[in-house]
Amino acid sequence: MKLSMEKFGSVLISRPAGREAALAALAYSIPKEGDERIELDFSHVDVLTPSWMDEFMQTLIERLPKSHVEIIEGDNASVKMTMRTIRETTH
Amino acid sequence: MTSLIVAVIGELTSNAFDHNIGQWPDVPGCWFESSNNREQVNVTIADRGQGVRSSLERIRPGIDDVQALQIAFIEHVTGRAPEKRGNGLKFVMNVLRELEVARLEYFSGSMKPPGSARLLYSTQTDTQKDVTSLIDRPAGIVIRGVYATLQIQKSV
Repeated sequence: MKLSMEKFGSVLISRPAGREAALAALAYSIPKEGDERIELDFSHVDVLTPSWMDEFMQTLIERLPKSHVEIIEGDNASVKMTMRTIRETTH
Repeated sequence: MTSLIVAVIGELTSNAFDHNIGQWPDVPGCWFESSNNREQVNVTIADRGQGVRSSLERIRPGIDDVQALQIAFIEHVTGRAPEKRGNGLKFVMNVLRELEVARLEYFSGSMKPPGSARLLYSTQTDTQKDVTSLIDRPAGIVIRGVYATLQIQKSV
């Protein structure tokens, strides 16, 4: 399933907001059972930071296998730079 | 470019709260000041929190303020361990290195000797330098918490 991340706001910056978004996604959007892949689509997000993303992912993968989650970056510069920074520091 | 500027300001400001919640020595919150015109964005962010060194001392005992800034800007660690985070300041440097004209001066101190540390980065002189060489301990500056000034030229 594809999750449109702009539903959580167009400006995704703070850690508390990232955690809250992940908890809401787990409660209302993501199937509670099954092996369905989850696509996080950031194509229409205006601003993303590593703090928001770290918090969102940490909360999400407490309940989902990381391998089931796929990121669609889109063209936004802050989304691309956030993903690049996370890749650089975790590999 | 606007999204990158907002993201950098957001990261720097969030740090004041994320690393000081429940730990404010006296005055909570941060000072935020900005000016924005067609050519340039100027931002000042300051807090009277525990500073980077105190934030990281629990996971890296014995470090000084200079080493703390090196860790914060280079390594994937956070004072909020065991949480696996700590990308914010690396992100800030990554963004600044992509911009044509930008300058960041980032002080952190904990009022402990031998004084506060500073990272100073300017696109005019430092684009080829590694982060470690950007960090020093300027004489006569002793602060507690973090004081950061950021200038970004929007169009050249």
